[in-house]
Amino acid sequence: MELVTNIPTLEALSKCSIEPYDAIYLGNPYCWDYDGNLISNFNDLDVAIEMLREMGKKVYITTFAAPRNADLPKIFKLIDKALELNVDAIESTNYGVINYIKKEHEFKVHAGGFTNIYTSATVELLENMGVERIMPAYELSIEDIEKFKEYKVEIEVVIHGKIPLGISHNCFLLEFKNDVGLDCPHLCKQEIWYKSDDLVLKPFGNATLSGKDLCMYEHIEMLNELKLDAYRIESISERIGYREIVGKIYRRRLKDGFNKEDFEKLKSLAEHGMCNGFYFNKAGQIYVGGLNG
Amino acid sequence: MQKVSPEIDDEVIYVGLKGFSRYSDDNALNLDEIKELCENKRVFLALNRVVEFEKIKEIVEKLDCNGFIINDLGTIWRIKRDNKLKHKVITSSVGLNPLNTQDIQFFEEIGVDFVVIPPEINCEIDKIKNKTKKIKIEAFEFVLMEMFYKGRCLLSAYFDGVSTKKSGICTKRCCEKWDVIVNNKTIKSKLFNPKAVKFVENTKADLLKIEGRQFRRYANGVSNKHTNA
Repeated sequence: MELVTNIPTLEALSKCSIEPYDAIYLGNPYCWDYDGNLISNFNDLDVAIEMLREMGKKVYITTFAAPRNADLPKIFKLIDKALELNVDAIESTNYGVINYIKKEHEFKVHAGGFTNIYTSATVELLENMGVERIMPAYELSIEDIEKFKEYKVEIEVVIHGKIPLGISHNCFLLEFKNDVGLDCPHLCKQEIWYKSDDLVLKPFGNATLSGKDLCMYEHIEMLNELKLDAYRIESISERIGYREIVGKIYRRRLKDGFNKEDFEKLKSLAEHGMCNGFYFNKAGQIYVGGLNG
Repeated sequence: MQKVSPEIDDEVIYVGLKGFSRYSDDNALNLDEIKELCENKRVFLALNRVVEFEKIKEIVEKLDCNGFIINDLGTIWRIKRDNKLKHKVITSSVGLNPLNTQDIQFFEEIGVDFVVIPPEINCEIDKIKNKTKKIKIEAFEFVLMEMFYKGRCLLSAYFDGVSTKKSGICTKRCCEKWDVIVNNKTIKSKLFNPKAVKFVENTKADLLKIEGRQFRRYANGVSNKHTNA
């Protein structure tokens, strides 16, 4: 079982331990202009990859999640760079880009969570294209995901963190720059939430994330039964330190089993509570109790 | 059954099949009604809820519609590889969210006949059409521009357990009044309501789409006009 997370910048990589993880997705897929974004700063990317290699970690490079025509030249350059650096795979959620990588470069591709992977037919299509790994649509249940096991593609799922709930063609935060008194790229480094009564969302670049932290800590055995290939801790929008703590907790969870203190720590890190996402065929924001009663 | 107004007799009529079409089943038709409609009209059937291939295949085999709108690329790919079905005309739903010329080329490779493009890329129709030989482009002339790209919103599923992709229903959580909180301080409130937009320079599209089902006071069902392009 591979434990993976995502790191947007060299600064974020440098300021925390990634010891618990087997592999890292580098770059922020939701905004090219994010300060220090590794998919836009190739000098930083060189350094980040060297650091990860020295630590013996697998390196995946992510790509912009919603590429329009104007984004394609930048994505092609990034792909060339990823090939030059011989990373372990490129992540994309765009069929055109996935097809380009496979056709032009025959390189390893992970199809991310926004690739619209809902059905066995689509998994078969991606398998046929030669895609190495898929992340099923976030809103699929454990039973839905289990059906995909019959195909020869690796499956990665999110076990913790804020999941993306939508992606737009622009960044909503820019609308608030005058109210906040900060412009891009400093605006999104603030703690920003949308709240409507008890509903919470977290805007982040062109994406909007769940306000709650998806948490499968209590239910990891259910996922283990599926014998999936990788578990992801979504930490792209998190403050320094989050991915290290959460990674260590899940590494212990996988090795030693449930620990109440660790679970309480996860609760304390989730500013707006925890949820189970869509694994149990319920509204994604609901938390289903498990081992902890 | 929805009435088809006389003035759109020569146009393509999009209808939904109960249980398979996005939005409410209230205005969707059953199989017999669609068969009857197919006798006199050019009918495209929206099967744009995401369901497993076998269920879609059963419907596509049964009905002699002029085309089918499908919201799952794998399903389209399988239909186009099936010797008995590959002649069927398939439109990729806007929910598949093609955003660039690479997408359009890929959709063409797997056999898509018509692509509904997101309204956000209407301004790029020229570029898109230049990259495809076979595919027809369908663009929104009148549309609700939503908070997120169409087909990329999980708010209903997350907050209410209702999947827009799978059940076709949107609970419109974007229309709540959202407080924008920055560093623990509410700076303003914001609505992310869909905005009605009418595009006036869409002449390069092969089909123009008028979004209707969420806009009943403007349109009865969804109608599509062929352009002269």
